Parts: sequence; C-alpha cells; structure tokens
Amino acid sequence: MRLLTDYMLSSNIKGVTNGFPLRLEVEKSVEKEVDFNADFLKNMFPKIEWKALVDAFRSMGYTELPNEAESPMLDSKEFLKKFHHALLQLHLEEGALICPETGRRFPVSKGIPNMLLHEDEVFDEVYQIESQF
Amino acid sequence: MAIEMLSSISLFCNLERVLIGYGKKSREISSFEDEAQATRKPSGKSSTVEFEQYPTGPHIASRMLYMAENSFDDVSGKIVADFGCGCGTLGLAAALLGAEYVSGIDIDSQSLEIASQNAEDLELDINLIQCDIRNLGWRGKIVDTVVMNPPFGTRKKGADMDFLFVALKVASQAVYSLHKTTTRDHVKRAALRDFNARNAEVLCELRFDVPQLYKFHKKKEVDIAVDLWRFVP
Repeated sequence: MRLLTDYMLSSNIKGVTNGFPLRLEVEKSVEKEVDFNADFLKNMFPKIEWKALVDAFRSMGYTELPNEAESPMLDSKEFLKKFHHALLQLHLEEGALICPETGRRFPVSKGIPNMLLHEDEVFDEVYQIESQF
Repeated sequence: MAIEMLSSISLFCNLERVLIGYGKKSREISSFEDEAQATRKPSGKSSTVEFEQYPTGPHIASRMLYMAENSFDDVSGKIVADFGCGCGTLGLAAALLGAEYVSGIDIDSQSLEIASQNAEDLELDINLIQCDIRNLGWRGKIVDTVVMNPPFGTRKKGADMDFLFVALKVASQAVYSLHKTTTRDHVKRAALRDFNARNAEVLCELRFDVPQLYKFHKKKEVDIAVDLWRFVP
C-alpha cells in the first residue's frame, strides 16, 4: 500500500468525528520503483496537508523530507524526487492503519488494507455517512 | 485529423484486445461459486451471491474508459478509483490508458487477489483497498474520476444507488457508471435531485451479457440493456 493511498483513507467507524490521518504500524515495507512525473507531483502538492504526509513518511522510516513545505520548493528537482519516492515508491506490505480516535487497527496484508467494519461499527444507512466526507 | 482518428481507433482496439486476453484468464479463476456454499456476510472469505459479482466484459470496459479519455480527458494523467473493482477490469483499463494513479476498491478478498495477479500479469500498477463502499471512509477530493460497474441491486435493493452516492462524494471531476436502462429516469432524478450532481448524462446504451453464473439463473445467458452514464459531481 502506497502512502498516497494511506493519505486518501480515513477511519470509517460510526461516531468517529476525526478519522484521519490514519497512523501507520509497519511490520514489513518494500520499495518499488515507478516512473517519475513532475507535473503529477506539482498538481498533488496543493491538495494535501503536508504535515499529515510527513508523519506517514517518518513512520515508514523516511526522514529526507522537511516538516514544512512551501510551493517554491517544487522548483527543486531534488525535492520532487524525494517527494516522489516517499509518496509513490514506499509500500507498506504488512502492518496496520490505526484509527486516530479509537485506536482500532485496520490490518494491512500483502499490501492491501482491510477497512471492513464489524457490525457494531457500522451506520444503518449509507446516507448517514455524510459526515465522513 | 484522419491520422488522429486512426490512432484513436487502434488504441481502442488494442485496449479491447488486452482486456479480452486477460479476461479469459480471469474467468478461469472463478469466484462464481455454488449458491449452496454462499455465505451471508461480507466476511471476505468466499464470494457470495449477495455481492452480485459479474465481471465487466472487455467490450464494455474498453468502451467506458475509451470514451472517458477520448471525449472527456478524464483518464490520462488523472487519479482514478474503481469502485467494486472485482478482478480489476475497469481500473486496469484506466491504467492502460495512462491514468497516473489507480485505486481499486472491493469488499471481497478473493477478487482483490485476482485483481492483484491481473495487475502483475499486465505489468500495471493498481492500489487495492478492501472495503465496503457503503462504509468507505475517504478524505477530501483527491480522486479525479470514479469508474464503476456497481451491483445492480437485484439481490440487495438499491445497491447501485449507494455506490453512486459515494462515488459523487469522492470524485472531483467525473463518475462513470453502468445502470440498467429500465432505471434510467430513477437514476437521473436521484443523481440530480438527491445527490446534487451538476450533470447526469447517458453516453450510450450497451448490452451486458450475463452468463449463467449462479444456480438461481434460469437461462443460459441473458442480455441486459444498460446505460453508460457520466455524472459530474
């Protein structure tokens, strides 16, 4: 599971008001190379909360990126390469995502996070999850 | 102009060919089990009749993704999510057409395993998530386009509308979906009036071949008329 995927997910348990960011519990991680696309990264940057992403990077053991980032840094190829590496090339193979409010573990196995809820964690009607977005 | 059209057509044919090729393999690894063995809960253990798992045929998948890219620029360079991805057909078609990042979400672990294998075989990247779409916890509007072939709601009524509701919350640019032609008015009304979509358009009508997959299917094969929709959130 890439960190961009982790970034998109939030805890979907009923009653949880702040379901992200999900903390990472790392048992096994790997690196897989993907093509570098500067435009994609520059488009992504304004859409994300940098601090949340940096925490995820650090959990994976990647410390090359600063705590704060401003858009002028996107002009630096070195910065973009590091951003690319952390966002798209680091994979959590085995471990878990942790709900920040309840501590509930969502296991990650073979790189796939399991976000299935138990019966008591679910809203009755899908329309009740309006607040999740 | 002629050259562009020709290369577009060959792109479309290539897409179809690839999907047909891999589709043959994914059918062999069957998740279509005997109804007697079906479990009732989405435990992720075995496929169930409840999920209405029908593979998206390559001709429908390539038509949907090709139109999304060629007519609307909704695929190449974009972040695409495939809701109820199953074996990954739509998501992989998106990757083939140049989507920058593809997420595939499905409730069933067997399907996800197949999707993972299919991605590997095609040397494509797909980011898989196991989740019930109706309980999806998602953050913000990072995804550009959602593509889906939702369960039609024959087993669980209204399942496709649940999918549409969530899709319109997640997508920032467009949602492509298939719904039975018989439900056309209902879908349009729900999308525009209840789900606040800005636009809801039927791009074309297709025929969806449903082979006899489950014991409760009486006929050997059935043709269902489906609408290919494009919604704007």
